[in-house]
Amino acid sequence: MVSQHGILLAVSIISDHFGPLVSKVCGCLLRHGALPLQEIVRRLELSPGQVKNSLLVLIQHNCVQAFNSPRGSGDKTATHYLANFDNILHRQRFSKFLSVIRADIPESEALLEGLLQNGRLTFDQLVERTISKVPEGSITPSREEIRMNFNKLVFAHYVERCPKPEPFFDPLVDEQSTSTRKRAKTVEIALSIDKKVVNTASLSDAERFSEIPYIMEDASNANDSTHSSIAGTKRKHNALEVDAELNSTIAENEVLWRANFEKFIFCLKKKFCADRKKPKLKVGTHPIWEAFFEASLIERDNNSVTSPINGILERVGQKEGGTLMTLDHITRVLEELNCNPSSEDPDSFILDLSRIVEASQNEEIIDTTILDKQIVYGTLYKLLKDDYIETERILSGTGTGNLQFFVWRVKNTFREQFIDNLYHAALNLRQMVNYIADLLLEGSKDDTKLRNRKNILILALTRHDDSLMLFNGF
Amino acid sequence: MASRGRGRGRGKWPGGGYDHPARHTPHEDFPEIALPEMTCARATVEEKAMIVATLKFEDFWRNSCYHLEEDAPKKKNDDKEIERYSDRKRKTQSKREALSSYLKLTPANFPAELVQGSKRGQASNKKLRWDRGSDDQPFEVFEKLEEKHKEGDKKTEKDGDDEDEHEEEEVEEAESSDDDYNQNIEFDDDDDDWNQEEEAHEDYYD
Repeated sequence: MVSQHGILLAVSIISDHFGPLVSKVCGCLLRHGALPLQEIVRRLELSPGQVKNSLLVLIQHNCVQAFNSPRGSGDKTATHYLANFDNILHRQRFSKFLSVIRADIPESEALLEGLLQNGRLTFDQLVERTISKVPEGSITPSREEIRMNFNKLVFAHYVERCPKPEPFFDPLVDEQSTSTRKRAKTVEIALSIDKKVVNTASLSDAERFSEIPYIMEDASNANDSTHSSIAGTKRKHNALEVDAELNSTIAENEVLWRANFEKFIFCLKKKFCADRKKPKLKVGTHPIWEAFFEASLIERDNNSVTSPINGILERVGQKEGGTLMTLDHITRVLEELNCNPSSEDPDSFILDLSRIVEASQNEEIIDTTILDKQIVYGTLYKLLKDDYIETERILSGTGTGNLQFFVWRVKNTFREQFIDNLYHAALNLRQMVNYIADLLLEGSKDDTKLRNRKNILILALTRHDDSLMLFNGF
Repeated sequence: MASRGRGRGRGKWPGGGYDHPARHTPHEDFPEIALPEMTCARATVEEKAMIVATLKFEDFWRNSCYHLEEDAPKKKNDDKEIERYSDRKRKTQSKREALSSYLKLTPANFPAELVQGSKRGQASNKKLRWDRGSDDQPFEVFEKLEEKHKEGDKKTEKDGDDEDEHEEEEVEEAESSDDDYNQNIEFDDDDDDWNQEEEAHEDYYD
């Protein structure tokens, strides 16, 4: 379950974006877990119409996943709705996702923006939106060009087909995942029900990232002109053409597409790890470190980066001083940087990001330190007050009198409390931004000053979000 | 009895609070406090772009059909022939497009119980706004700022003492921006259109 301030933060985000009505429904689901429609109506005392519309908006924006589950005994089933906390929090990172695309596939940035703004769209809707936003006098891009730019996003896994709207899931049955998605690591930790529902709803990788097929528009004309002698072949060609056309039509008109948040978080994780280690790198190893990340292939799991040696060599050669480096030197440096030859492909190097993430979470802690007594008392008192540590009094009866000692230890709920405080800080920043926005709305003499303050707070929130991702996301 | 008069007025009287009465002050959510000097790194170019993008997203959603009004009638077959006073008031406040214009309300996309009885697909080939409204305003502001900048430049070119003019302008700007906050983020918050006039939007109703 999500912590108290995590829920408040999520509700605040939904309220800002979609209004108080939708945020009430969202808050109810976050607090009570998956619920059927009638239960939400009963708890919130709203009309069914209001709750339905709220759920439509939340599903459209990937904040809620519905599933069909048995109700009571017998064959009856009911639709349950489950809030997706991670996806709600991702909403305050959309600008970071856009910056990832701006660096990688800038020509597709506008398409991604459309998907982030609207949650889910068909390709047709994206085309309509693209054409409507073309300024007067500018050249309208062709449908083919838009399809090409869109397929680039799909190929790179930035965009995916939406999951099933209402899969069947029985929480009481400990079922194996029936999807054919590959998982790089065997999942030893029992998945929560939330994760199981999401997995059940997901399509297979092949289907999820299946691009929009390209159909030759004058293919039928070409066939007529070939004068195929075998009538059966011609008929077969036509049948295949019809199938292909149908697939293309479905992919363009019927299929809903959305941004693949997993991929974006992985890109941000890569960038974080790459930047984190840079200050600690030895002189001369920067080009190799950067080249390794630039040469990375499409990963199958979200915890490691794999790069082929040829790609690394090519990019190292383009950097300053890179041409002088030998293969041996580069290989040695890579191994020093924990980039080890991959067991699956000996010509590739693989780096486990989770180690860098964990190290960043723990930072370097010195075993012993010498501090002034007052500072120690003050620090211990603050930590105790914030509920991070606990103490125990131990009486010792040795010696002439009774001595008492206080021993201290970190509470085992430390991590949860810490993350909750991170959420609390983000919530406070959001509230402050909204407060200033209200002041601006009322009108004031210090408009510029208020706007600048608002920008600084948004900047603080953006940077603080990096910490949120580090402790709950990467 | 003799002690009757003694209790009053003494600060150390245990039960009384006469010397230190409780003061009720109105609750302030964000009281003004003296902030420390900003020591963190300034916004990079990439971060500024992210802030602008964030403001654009937030503005889009606030004005979109996805932002549901709390007391809006949910029946799609509202009596539009009889216009109520509250309808008129609501119209002037916000002109949101219909949710069904953007959502593909079919059982293939949403749970069946949510799409039962709703209109399938788009009602007609109405031209949707998408986010044209929020797109135009920043451009207008950018254009206005550019014009002002050009006018300012032209004025300085026309005058004989160009350098003096520039210096004077710079000095004036420096004097007006004496606040710490103004030093760091220099770009204008163009997506913040709170103080700008709303465009006349067309009515899109079901």
